[in-house]
Amino acid sequence: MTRHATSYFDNEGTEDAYAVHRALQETMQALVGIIRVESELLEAKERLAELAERASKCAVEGNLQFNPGWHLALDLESMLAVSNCTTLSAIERRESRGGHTRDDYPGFRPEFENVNMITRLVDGEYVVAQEPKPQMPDELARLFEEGAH
Amino acid sequence: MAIDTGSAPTTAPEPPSGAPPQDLVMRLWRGDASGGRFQEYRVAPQEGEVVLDVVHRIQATQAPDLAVRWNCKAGKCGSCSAEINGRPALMCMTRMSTLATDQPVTVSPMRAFPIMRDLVTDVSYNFEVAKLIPAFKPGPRDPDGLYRMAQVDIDRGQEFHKCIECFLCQNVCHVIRDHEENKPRYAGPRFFVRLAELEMHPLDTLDRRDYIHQDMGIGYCNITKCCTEVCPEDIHITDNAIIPLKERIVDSHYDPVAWLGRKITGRPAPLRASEARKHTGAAHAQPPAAATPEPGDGA
Repeated sequence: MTRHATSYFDNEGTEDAYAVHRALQETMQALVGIIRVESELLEAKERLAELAERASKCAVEGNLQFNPGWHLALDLESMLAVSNCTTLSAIERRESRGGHTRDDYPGFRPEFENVNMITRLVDGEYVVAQEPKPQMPDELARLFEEGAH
Repeated sequence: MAIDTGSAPTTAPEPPSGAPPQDLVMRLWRGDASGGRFQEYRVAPQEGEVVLDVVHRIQATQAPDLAVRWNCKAGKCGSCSAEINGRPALMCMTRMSTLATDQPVTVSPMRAFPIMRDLVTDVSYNFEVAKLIPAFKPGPRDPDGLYRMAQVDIDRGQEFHKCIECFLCQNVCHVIRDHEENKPRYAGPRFFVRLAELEMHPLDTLDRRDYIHQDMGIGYCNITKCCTEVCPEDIHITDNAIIPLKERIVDSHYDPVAWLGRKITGRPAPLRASEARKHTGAAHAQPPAAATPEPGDGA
């Protein structure tokens, strides 16, 4: 873990963490924004792979002490993980529900009502799968029944 | 540590009329505990920026390892305290448009605290003082289980609650800034605000006057109002916190009429500092014992 974190200092790379961060923000804002469509989501998936490649080549200046450039390089790994989860789940959920709006699939679809989209890292690849939603606890379910009357 | 003031500012040539605005010249202090110097950066100005925006732009484009502490960018977290052209201020609340940008703008770390790196200082002295403040100690509840306070008493404390702990007042207070040796025996403006809030609280039962006098060193304050001037929350630190505390201490310790009154009526003298000390969160981290003995009644 520590060796991985400090490996950025030995990186012979040429990428700048701040530039990769900005590119990631712009990609997610433009392609995985409020109104989503499959073609854009697939494009985002490709761009995220490129950005992950760039992020691994970030060159870090300075030393271990209070070094924002280094911290950003480390944070990019987590930002990319979250971006991948969001994008892959959005591709898989072919409906519009809550905050997720698909231009190509307007409205609820019953087959997605009781599933969650779970993204896992399998042998270095992000894999998304539909899994049944956990059962609502009884005490919570009762509240919904009471509210329905 | 002395801060090197660097080379003399260079005057940039007048831009021809109609040309894009000339680059900002920012002189940021770079270094660590072992020393450092001002380094000059040139960046294109942008509309509506504050100092922190420009520092971040320098960080993103020219100095990736430039250390700067920040969080909310809205003047409410108290993280981005620095000295801008020598004046203590929050970087996120200082608009570039208020500074003369035809000459270099200097940003340096707070001088009263040890430097960690670049613009980041170690402010842990303040947290050590915080442990020495005797905690709130309310009296018993009313028979119906409630506490009751007059609105006017609540309003008085609201001003003190606004403190965001940016420690600019601690930084500018010359008792600390120019006399490192005072740190163990002087609480500083931020903590006089805290103590005033506790002393003025209608439900608090603890008497901290002798403690403020003996351990918190309020007598060192010369009421120059530098703290009030730099407070980003516009707390009237000197007028509303420090002077009322000083008045209470003068009344309890130096007023001969009050002393005589206490002798005649048998009303108790202020609680000894040693009593208040038991209510601090740092009984293990006592400040060095006061050189003067605790005053007896009217001594």
